[in-house]
Amino acid sequence: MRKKLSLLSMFLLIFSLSQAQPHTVTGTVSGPDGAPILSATILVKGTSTSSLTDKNGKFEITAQRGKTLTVTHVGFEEKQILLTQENVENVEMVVSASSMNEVVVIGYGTKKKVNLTGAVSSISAKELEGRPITNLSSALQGTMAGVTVTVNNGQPGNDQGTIRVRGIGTLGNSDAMVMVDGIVSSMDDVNPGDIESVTVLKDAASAAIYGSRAANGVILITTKKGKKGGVIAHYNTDIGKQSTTATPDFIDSWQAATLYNEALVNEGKSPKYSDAEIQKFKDGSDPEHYPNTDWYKLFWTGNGLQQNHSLDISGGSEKMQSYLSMGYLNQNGIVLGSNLDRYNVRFRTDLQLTQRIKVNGNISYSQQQFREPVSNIHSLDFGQLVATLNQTGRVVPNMINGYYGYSDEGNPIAVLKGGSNNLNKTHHLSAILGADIELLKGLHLKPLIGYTASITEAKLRINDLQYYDPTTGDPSLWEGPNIVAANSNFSDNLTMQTLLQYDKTFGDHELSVLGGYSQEHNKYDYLFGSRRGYLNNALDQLDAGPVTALQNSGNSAEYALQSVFGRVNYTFKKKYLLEGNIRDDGSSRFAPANRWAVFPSASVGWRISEETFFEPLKKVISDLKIRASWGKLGNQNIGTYPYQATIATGQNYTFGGQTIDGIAPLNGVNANIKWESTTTNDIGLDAVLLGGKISFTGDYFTRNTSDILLSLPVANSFGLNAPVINAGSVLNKGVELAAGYHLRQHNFSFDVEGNISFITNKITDLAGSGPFPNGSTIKGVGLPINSLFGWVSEGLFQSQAEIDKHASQAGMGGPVAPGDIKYKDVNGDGVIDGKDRQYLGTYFPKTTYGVNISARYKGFYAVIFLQGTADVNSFVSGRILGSLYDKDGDPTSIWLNRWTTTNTNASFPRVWNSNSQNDPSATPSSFWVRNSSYVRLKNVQVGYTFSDGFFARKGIKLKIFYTGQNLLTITNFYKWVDPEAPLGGPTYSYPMVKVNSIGLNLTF
Amino acid sequence: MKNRLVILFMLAVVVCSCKKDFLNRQPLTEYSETTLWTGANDAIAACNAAYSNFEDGQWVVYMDDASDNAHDPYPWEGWQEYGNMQLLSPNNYNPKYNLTTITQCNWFLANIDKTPMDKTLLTRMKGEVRFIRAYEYFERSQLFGDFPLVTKMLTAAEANEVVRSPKADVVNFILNELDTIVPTLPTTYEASDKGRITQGAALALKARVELFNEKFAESAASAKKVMDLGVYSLFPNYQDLFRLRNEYNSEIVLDRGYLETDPNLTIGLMVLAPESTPGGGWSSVNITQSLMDAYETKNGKTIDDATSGYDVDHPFVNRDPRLLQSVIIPGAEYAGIIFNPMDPNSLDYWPAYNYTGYVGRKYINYKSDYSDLYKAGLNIPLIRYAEVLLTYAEAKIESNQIDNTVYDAIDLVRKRAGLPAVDQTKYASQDQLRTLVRRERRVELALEGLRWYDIQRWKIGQVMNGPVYGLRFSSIDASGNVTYTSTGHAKIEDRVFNPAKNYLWPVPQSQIDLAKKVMQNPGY
Repeated sequence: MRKKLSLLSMFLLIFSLSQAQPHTVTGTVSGPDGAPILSATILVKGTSTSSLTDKNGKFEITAQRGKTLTVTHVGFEEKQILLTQENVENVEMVVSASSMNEVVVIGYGTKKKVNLTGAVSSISAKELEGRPITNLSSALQGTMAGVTVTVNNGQPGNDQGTIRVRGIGTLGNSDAMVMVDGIVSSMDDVNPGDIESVTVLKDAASAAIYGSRAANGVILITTKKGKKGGVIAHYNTDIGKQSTTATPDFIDSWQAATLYNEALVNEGKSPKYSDAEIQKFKDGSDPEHYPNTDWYKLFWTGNGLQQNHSLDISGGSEKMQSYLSMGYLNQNGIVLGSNLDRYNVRFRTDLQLTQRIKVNGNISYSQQQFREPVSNIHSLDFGQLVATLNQTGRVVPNMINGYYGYSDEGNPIAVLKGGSNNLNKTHHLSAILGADIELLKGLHLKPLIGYTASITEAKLRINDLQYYDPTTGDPSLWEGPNIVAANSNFSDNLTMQTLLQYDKTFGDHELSVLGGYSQEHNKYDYLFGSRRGYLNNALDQLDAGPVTALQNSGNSAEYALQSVFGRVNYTFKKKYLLEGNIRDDGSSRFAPANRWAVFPSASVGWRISEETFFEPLKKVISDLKIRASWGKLGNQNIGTYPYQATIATGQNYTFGGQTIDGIAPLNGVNANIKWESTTTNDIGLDAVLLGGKISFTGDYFTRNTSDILLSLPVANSFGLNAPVINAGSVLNKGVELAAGYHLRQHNFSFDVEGNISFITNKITDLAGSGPFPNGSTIKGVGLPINSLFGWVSEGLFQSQAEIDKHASQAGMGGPVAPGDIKYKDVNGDGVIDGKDRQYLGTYFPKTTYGVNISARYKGFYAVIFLQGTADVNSFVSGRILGSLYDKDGDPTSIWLNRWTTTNTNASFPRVWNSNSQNDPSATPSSFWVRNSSYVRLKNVQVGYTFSDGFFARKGIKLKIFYTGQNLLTITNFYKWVDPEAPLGGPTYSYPMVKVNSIGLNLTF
Repeated sequence: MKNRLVILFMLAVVVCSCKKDFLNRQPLTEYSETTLWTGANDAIAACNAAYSNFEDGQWVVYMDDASDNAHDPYPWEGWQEYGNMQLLSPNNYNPKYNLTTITQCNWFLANIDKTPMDKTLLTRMKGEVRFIRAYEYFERSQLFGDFPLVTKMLTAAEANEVVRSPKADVVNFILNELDTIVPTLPTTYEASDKGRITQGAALALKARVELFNEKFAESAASAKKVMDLGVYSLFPNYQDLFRLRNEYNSEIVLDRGYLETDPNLTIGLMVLAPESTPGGGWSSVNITQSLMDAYETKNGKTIDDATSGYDVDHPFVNRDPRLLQSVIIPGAEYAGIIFNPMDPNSLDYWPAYNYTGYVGRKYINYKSDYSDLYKAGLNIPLIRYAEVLLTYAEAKIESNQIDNTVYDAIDLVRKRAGLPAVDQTKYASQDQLRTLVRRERRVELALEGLRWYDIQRWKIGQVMNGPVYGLRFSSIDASGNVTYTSTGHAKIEDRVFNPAKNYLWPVPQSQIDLAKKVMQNPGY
C-alpha cells in the first residue's frame, strides 16, 4: 500500500509541478487496523496552514500541488505526503516505533525528545486515561523514574500525594515547583481531564531555567488546547466505590480487659476487672455495662461512592482555535459526612491576529467543596474524631436503650451523628493571557500575564451534644457550648513575563536562543471570626450568636520574585547537542545584600546512532544518545520575612479583669541568610532497540545541596524559635532506569513499561554542629536525612538473672522485669541511657518502582499497573499498635502474643500501663522498626473500544472500562497498617482506600 | 490596529515589570524591631508580654501530683512519673526547662532604656520585668538545681555553649535582683493595673527564696516587711478566697491572671473536676489518703490523738473545715451529682484508672461561676498572705527565735480556717513547732503547687516512697450516704523514691544533646 502510494505520488508530481495553484485537498487517515484516526494533524510543510481529521478520519486542507503534507498524531510515526493530486488516498499511519520522536514540554518551550540533553520524564494524557483520578498528584505515583509519590490518606479532598523528585535534597521544604501553563500554581487546581502532558524536569540542566525554585525538581503541566479542524467532543465518566484497604485487628473486650488487668498487675497496681466482669464481657449478658463495641466497624459506614464527569469540546478554524471543558467530581467518603464536590471549567482560545501575531487566552475556574465531620470536644477536628475510635475502647457501649453511651473521650458515633462539621469551599481562578509576535523571521517576542487567585471560605460548626441516662432517660452529661468559626483566606499571584526567542538553521547548524524576564508578586490575606453559645444548633451564621465570647483575627503576608534568564541551544549535524542556561534571581525573602543569585547550567548530548560508523549497528540499535549535564539551582522555601526581626502581637495578659495587649519577639533572626544552592551532575543514556520494540533510558546523578536553609535546633537558652540559617549540605546519589517493550501487530499490541530508581542520601555537613536527635529520628552528618534513631534491642529479658547480668536499665522508664526489651549497652559503660542510642535505618524508600503492562486485542484492552518501594523502614506506636489504657485504648491482636511467664517465646514485650521502658514512642528502639517495603497493585483496567461498524458510520468512538485502584498490597509491615502510613503514627487517620469503578469515554 | 494593541499589551508587561523596590517587602502583620520603642505605649506592651507566659495556673494545680498530696491517674499526662519517680531520663520532656519568658524579659531590659518616656513608669516596669525573670529563675533552680543564668539576649551559637550555673549563684542573682527592685515598685495599683507586680510580691518572693535556701533570719525579716506594709490581710473565708468574684482580694500577694472573656487567656480547671461533672471533668489531680489524714480535727488535734474525737467510721465529720473546702470526698455532691467512686456504673468508679476516690474542690467549688470549666477565667494565686505568715513563722522557728509573733502568725491562719489557736503547751519546742508549721503549710497550701518544694527542702523524700492509698471501701447510696464495708483502702500504686537522685528532676535529654556543656543531674 505504502509503496503504491509513493509511486503514484511520484508520477503525479512530475505531471503537476507546472500548474501549482492552491486548492482544496481532501483525504482520510487511518490506523494500521483500518480504523479512522480522529484529530490527526495535517500540516502543509513550510507554512502554518494546518487541519485536523474528523471522526471519520477525513480532512480538508488548502494547499498547492508540489507541497508536502505532514500528517502527525500522538503515538504514530510522522508521515509525509507529496501533493500530486487533489485528493489524497487513505493515509495509513504506522504506530510510532520510538518515543524518541515525541515532543516534550520543557522550561519556557518545547523540545524534541531526541534532542534533550537533560534528565526529563514526561507522561501524556493517554497514560492517565481510564483511571478514576480524583487528583493528579496521587495519579503520578509510579509513573516516572525518579519521581517518588507518597499517598497515605484516602479522605476525599485530602488524598493528594507528596511528590519528591530524586529523593530529598534539602533538610527544609522538599516540595517540587509546579507550573501550570507557565504559571506557578498548584497541581490540585487542575482538572485531570484537561491535562495534555506532565513533564518533570529532574536535573539542574533542564530545570536551571527556573533557577531559584527548581532545586526540588520542576513539574510542568500543560493543558489541552483546540486544534484546527472539525469540532470534536469528549465525554468521560466513571463511577466507583471506595472501601478501606485494611482494617485494624482489634481484639474483643474481654481480651482487652484481661490485658489491661495484666498491665496494671505488671506495675504493682490493683487489677480493674474481676473474673466475673471479664466473663460478662465474654458472654455479652450485660451489654450495657460490659459491651464489646467495634467502633471501627460502626464508624466507617459511608457509602464511598464517587463519580467523575468531564466534557470537552474543541475545534477551530484557520484563525481561531478553542477548547472548552467542564468537569464535575463527587466523592463520598467511607464515613458519613465526609465528601467532596468539585466543579471545573476551562476555556482556552488561540487567535491568529495577523501572519505574525498570535494571541492566546486560558481561563479556568474551579470550585471545590470539602466537608468532613469533626469532634465536638478536645481538638475540634477530624483527626480527634478518628483518634476517638481507638481512644474510646471496646468496653464503652455505643448505644443502650436508644441512648448513646458516654465516654469522656467522646462517643464517636454520637459525635458523628451530632453533625459537627468543617466545610471548606475553595475557589480557584486562573487567567493567562499571552502573545507570540514574530518580529523578524525566527525572532519571536512572547509576553505573558498570568493571574491566579485562591479564595477559601471555611466554616467550622460545632454542635453541642446532650447525653442521657440510659435507665431514666434524664439528661446527664452535656458537651458544649456550640461554636461557629468562619474564616476566609485569599491569596493571589501575579506573574508578568516576557520571552524573546530566536531560532535559526544554517547548514548543519541549528541555533535556538531564548532570553526572558519574569516577576511575580504573591499576597495572602486571612480573616477569622467566631462566636459560641448559640441558643441551639439550628443556625450557623456569626450574627446569630451571642456577642459575649467573640473572637476574631486577621493577618497578611507577601513576597516577590524577579528574574532574568536565558538559554542557548546548539545542534550540529543533528548529532552534537549543546545547551546552556543561566538565570539571575532576586527574592524579597533575603536582605538586599544577599538578594540576588545566579544559577547556571550546561549540558551536552551525542547521538551516536547518527554517526556513520554506527550504521552497521542500526538494525539492532535504532537510536542511541548519551548525554551529560551540570547545573546549579536555588531554594528560597523559607518563611516570608526570615531576615527581618519581627515582633509578634497577641502576647497578652489580663490586668484588673481586662485583656491588655502585649508584644514580644518569638522567632530568632538571621539577617545574613542567603540562597540555598543545589549542584547536580547527571549522565544519561537513551536508546531505542529493534526498530522501536525496546526503549531504554538510564541516568546516574549526584545532587549536592549546600547552604541549606534550615532552622537548626538551638538549646532552650536561646529562648526564641531557632532562626533560619544556611546550615549544611546534603548529597543525593541515584540511578534511574526506565525501559519499555512494545509489540505492535495488526490487531494486537502489547506493552510493558517499567521504571525503577535507587536513591541514597546523606547529610554531609551541619555547619559543624549536631547530631540532632529528635525523639525517634535524628539528623546527623553521615546519616541519611530521614534516619531512625533509638536503642538497639537484643530481644526480651527472660529472667531476673539475665537482667542482673545485663547493663542497668533502671533509668529507662520503669522497674525492669522479665519480658522487658533488653537494650544493647552500645558504649559499654554498664548503664543503658541516652548515650546508647544509635542510627536504626532510614524511613525514606531507597528504591521505588512502577511497572505498567498493557495489552490490546482488537477492541479489548487490559492494563495492570504495579507500584512499590523497597529498602525502607518504619514503625508504629501508640494507638495504632493498640494501647492498653482501659477505656482509652483498644489493643490489636498483636498483644495476644505478648510476653508472659507462660509465653516466653513471645513476639512482644510484657504489657505496660504507665511505665515506658518498652514503649515505642517514649523509648524508640530497633525492636519496633520493621521493613515497610511493599508492592501494590495500584491499578487494573479492562475495557473495550467500539469503533467499527455502527460507530464508525456515526463517527463515534466509545470505550467502556472497569478499573480497580489499590486492590492489593503485599508487605511485611503490620498487616492492618498501610505501609505508607506516617512514621511512628500514634493514631489512626483516614485509611487508604481501594476504589472499584466502571466508566466510559465517548468521542463524537 | 490589532498589531498596535498587541504591542501596547506587550509594552505594558515590560513596563509594569520594571517597578523599583519591587523586592522590598516589609512584614504586614508583625511589628519589626526598627518600628518599635517609640514611646510609652510600645514599652508597656513589651512589658505586658513578659507576664503572658510567666507561670501556668494549670501547672500549679498539677504540681501536687508530683508530691505525696496527689496522684495523676493518667500516664499520658506525664505527671505520674513525677509522682512515682520512674522518670525516663533519656527522653523526658519538661516544659519548665525553657527560657522563653526569661528571654522576653531580657529583650525588654535590653531595649527599654532607649525609649523616650516617663522615667518613673520606665523604672517601675523594669522592676516588674526583673521580678518576673527572678520568679522564673526561682522555679527553675528549685526544680533542676543548677540552671543556665542568662541575663542578656544570646545568639544561637552562644545558647548552645551555655553551662548550668550553680544553684547558689542563681539564688544570689534572684535575691540581688529582688533587693534592687523592691524600692522601685509600688505597694498597690489602681484597679485597671491590678495584677501587676507590687513591692509586697517582691518581698514575699524574697522571703520564700530565703526560706527555701535556709537563710532563715533574712527570710523572717523579709516576711516581716510584707506584714508591716499594711496592705495585706487574710481573706475572711478560706473557701471563697478562691472564688472568681474575689479575685485581687486582700490576701493575694501575687497571682497568675486568667480571663473567661478572652479565649486566649483562659485556664482549664476541668483537670480538677470529677469525670462525672456535667460538661466533663478530668480528675487528673487525685488527692491521696496521706493528705486527707494530715488535716486535723475541728478541735485542732491530729487524728492519731485519742482526744481528737476522730471517728474512723465518720472520718470527715468534725475535721478541719479546709478539708471539705479543698477536697471532694466520696458521697459528696459536686455540681448536682453525687461523687460515687464505689459505683461500677459511675464515671468516677475508682478502679477505672486507679483513682484515689478523692478529687480537688479548691478553685472549682462554685461551678456555676464558670460557663465552661475547660475555659475558666479564674486567677490562680501564686503567693498568698497566709503563706507569708507561715514563712515568717517557719523562718523564726528554724532560727530558734520562738516568740509570740510566731504563734500569732500561725494562729491567724488557723483561726481564719475555723480552727482553735495553737496549743502552746503541746507545741512549745522548736521540734514540736516545726512539725506543726509543716503540717499547717501542707493543708493550708494544698493544691497550690508548693508541696514538692517543701518535700525537697525538708529532705523528707521518704513520704514519696512506698504504697499510695486512696479511699476506704464502702457503699454509697443515691443521697451520698457512705457505709464502710471494709477497713481496707484502695491501693493506687507503689512509689519508689531514691534520695540519691530524686530530689532534683532530670534535665531533658534533648537539651543535653543540643547544649553539649549542659550536664545531667547526678543519678539520671
